[in-house]
Amino acid sequence: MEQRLMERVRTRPETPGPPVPRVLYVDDDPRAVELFIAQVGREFTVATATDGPAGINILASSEPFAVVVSDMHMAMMNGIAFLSRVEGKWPESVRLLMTGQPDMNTAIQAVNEGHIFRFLIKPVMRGGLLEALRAAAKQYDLVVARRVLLEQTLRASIKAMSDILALASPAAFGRATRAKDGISLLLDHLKVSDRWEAEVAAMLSQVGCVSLPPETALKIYEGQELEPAEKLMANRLPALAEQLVAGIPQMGGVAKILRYEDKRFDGGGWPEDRVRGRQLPWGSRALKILLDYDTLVAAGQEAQGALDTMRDRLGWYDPSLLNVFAKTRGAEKQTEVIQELLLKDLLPGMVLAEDVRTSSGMMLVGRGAEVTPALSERLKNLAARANVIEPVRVLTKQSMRP
Amino acid sequence: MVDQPSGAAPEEQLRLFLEEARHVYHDVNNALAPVLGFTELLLEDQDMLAETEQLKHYLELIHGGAEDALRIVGNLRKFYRPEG
Repeated sequence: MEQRLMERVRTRPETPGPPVPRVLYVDDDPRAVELFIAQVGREFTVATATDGPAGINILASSEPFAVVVSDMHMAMMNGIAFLSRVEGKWPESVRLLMTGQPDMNTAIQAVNEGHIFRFLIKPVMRGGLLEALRAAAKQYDLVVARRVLLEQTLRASIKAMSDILALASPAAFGRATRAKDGISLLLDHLKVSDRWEAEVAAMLSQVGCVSLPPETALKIYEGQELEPAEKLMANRLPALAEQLVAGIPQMGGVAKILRYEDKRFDGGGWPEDRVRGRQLPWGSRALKILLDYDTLVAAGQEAQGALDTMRDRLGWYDPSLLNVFAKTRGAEKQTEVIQELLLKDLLPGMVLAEDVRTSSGMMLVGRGAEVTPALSERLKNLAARANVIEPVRVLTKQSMRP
Repeated sequence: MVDQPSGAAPEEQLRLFLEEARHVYHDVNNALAPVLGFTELLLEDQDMLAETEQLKHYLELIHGGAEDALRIVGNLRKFYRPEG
C-alpha cells in the first residue's frame, strides 16, 4: 500500500505558476491517509506518515513543509505531542490537529501545547479541509516572507555600510576585510557554527574611521605612532562604531562586540569600565588580536615577529585565542594563490594582496579589500584619470579557480 | 472494551456505558470518515467513476469503513442484551 501512496503523490499533475505548498499528513489509519491524498492531492504536494516518529524523520530529511496535519489518537505518540515537537524544531510550519473525538480537554491542550492553527473534526469533508489548508499555507507564506524580508534588509544594510566604507576609506575597508577573514579562519578552526555576529562585527569594525582626518586614518592603517590628540580620537573609534549600529534591530550583539573591540583582556584600554577577561564578547577578544596583528604587520613586522611582540604583551590578549590565532596564520596561505593581474582583469571575490597606488604614491585601495562590483567600478574610474601601478597582486581563493 | 457490565452496580454500569459510548463515538467517526469522504469525491467528480481500478479501490475502502462502523456499534449490544 505504501507503494501505491507514493505513486499517487508523484502523479499529482504539475501546474504552472506559484510553487505548490507542501503538506505532511500523519495518521495511523491507512484509510484516512488515502482519503486525505484523494481529497487534497490535486492542490497540494502531500507526504504522509503513519506515526509521529516517522513524521519527524520526513520533516528532518526533506524540504520544509508549509503545513503539518496530524491525527490525535495514535499509538506511538499522540497528535499533540507530535505537533509540539514539530513546533520546537520547525516553528514556521503551520500545525493542524484532526480528531474523531472533539472534547474540551483535547482542544485546550492542542491550543496551549501544540499551538495549533486549526482544530478539525473527523469526518472532515473536502471543502472544509481545503479551506483550512489554504488558510494555513497562506499563514506560512506570511511568516516566511516576513523572516526573509527582515534577513535581506539586515544583510543589505550591512553590505551598504561596508560598501560605503570601501569607497570613503579604502584603507579602513581593507583592514576590516582582513579582520573579517581572520575571524572566519578562527571560527573555522574552532568549528563554530553560530558565526554571524562576529563576522559582521569584523566587517563593521572600522566604520568609526570615517570620523578621522585622512592623515590620522592613514597613520593607523600604516601602524605609525599617533600624536596624543590623535590617540584620543582613535580611542573613540569603537564607541562610534557601536553607536552607528546600535539603532538597528537584531544588531545588539554586534554593537557590544564593537564596543569592546580594542579592549585588553585584562580590562585595560578603552572603554574604561570593569569588563574584562571572558566577560568580553568572544568577537571582541578575537578582533583585538586580529586588529593589533594587522597594525604590527602594516608597520613592517614579519608574521612571526608580530606574533612574538603580541606574546610579550602580557595581559593584552585572551591567551588560548592567541594560540589558536597563531595556528591559523600557518593554515591561511595554503588555501589561496597569488596572481598578478591588470585592473581590467579583476573579478569579484578576488582579494587585493597589495595596496593599489598611483605612480605618485597615492593609495587608492588598501590590501585585503575584496573586489566587489562597486570597487571594480571605482578602480576603473580612477585608472582613467591617474597612472595606476599595474599589474597588482591578488589572492584568489582555491575554490574560485575554474 | 468493557466486559461483563451486567455484574456491576447500576451506577458503575452507567459509568461503563458512558465510557464505552465515548470510545464508540470516536471509533465510528473514524470509520465513517472514508465512507463519507470517498462517496463525496465520487459524487462531485464524475471523471473518477471512469477510472475503474481506482474506483474499485475506493469502493473497497468505503466498504471497509462501513464494516468497521457496524462492528463498533455492535459492541454496545452487551448493554441492552447482557444475557445474549
